Amino acid sequence: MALERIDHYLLQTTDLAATRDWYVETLGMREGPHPDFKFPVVWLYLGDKDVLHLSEGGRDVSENRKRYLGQESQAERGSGVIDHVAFAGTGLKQMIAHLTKLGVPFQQRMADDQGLYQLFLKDPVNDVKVELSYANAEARTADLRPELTASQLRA
Amino acid sequence: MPVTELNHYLLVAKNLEKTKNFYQKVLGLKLASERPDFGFPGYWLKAGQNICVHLASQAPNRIRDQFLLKKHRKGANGSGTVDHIAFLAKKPEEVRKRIQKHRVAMHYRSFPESKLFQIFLKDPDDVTIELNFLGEVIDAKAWAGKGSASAVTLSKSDGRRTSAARQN
Repeated sequence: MALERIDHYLLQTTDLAATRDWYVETLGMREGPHPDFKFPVVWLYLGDKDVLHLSEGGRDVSENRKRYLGQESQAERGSGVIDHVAFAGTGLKQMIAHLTKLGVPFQQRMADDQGLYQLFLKDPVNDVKVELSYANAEARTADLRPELTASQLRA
Repeated sequence: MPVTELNHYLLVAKNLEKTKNFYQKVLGLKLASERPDFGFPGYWLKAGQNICVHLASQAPNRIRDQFLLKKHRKGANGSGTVDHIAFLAKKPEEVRKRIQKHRVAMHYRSFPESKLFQIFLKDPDDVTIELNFLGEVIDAKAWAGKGSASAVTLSKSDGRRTSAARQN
């Protein structure tokens, strides 16, 4: 169940294009491929790795985004625009057993077209949302089913 | 590319010990022993070999407020407890020029004893970003004023507490 690394963070913004341009121009990131979540996202890469995910933020976000990801805050400024931070690991089945044993609630999501299986949970002390990201193949082997798959959402 | 990879995030925790326990017990991260004395209490936590979560406390601390870019008051909650997101970077001179070219305010943070130089900046939504140049010792006097909104150096003499000095 070991988590191996920090994977990405997600910023929600009221101006996707301007935020993307700033990270590209000022920090030298590159826009790259992302799964089809049926709501607007931009993935930004350093080298071959996506490190920053952007999604719509503020008060008027789409129903699809709310269903798939929830929304921690409608803040438009400051660290409240960070929706979650994600870790990547292996041992999905063991992590699910571990969280269940500890009584930590979590949600399961799958972004099918890029083979991602995601667990979302809260750091209960600070109410910070954490994502744990696993290869989809692990879920298939363990015969796990998410509560929601991105392809179930309507475009 | 000068900014090379995502490195860590820093939480300013309501309860430092409980938060450390969460990351250790629930997520299985390991406590790192190599955290330098920044002059404010905290922990570093590792996933695999990588230190990826930094914790600080919401208990009042002057050096923390000076070193990070804002005052942290008790009671912050949710993603508001995330102080910054940090990347590793190389070539500080090149990165400085690039940021300057886009007219973004920079804050220099230097910790020579730990061979660490950092540039803090804010993204358009006021999110704090930290760029870490590992192994870099910058002459604070040479860099002072070069497009920086503030510059702070931490220093630690033998047997003494870490102190913070502002260059500008």
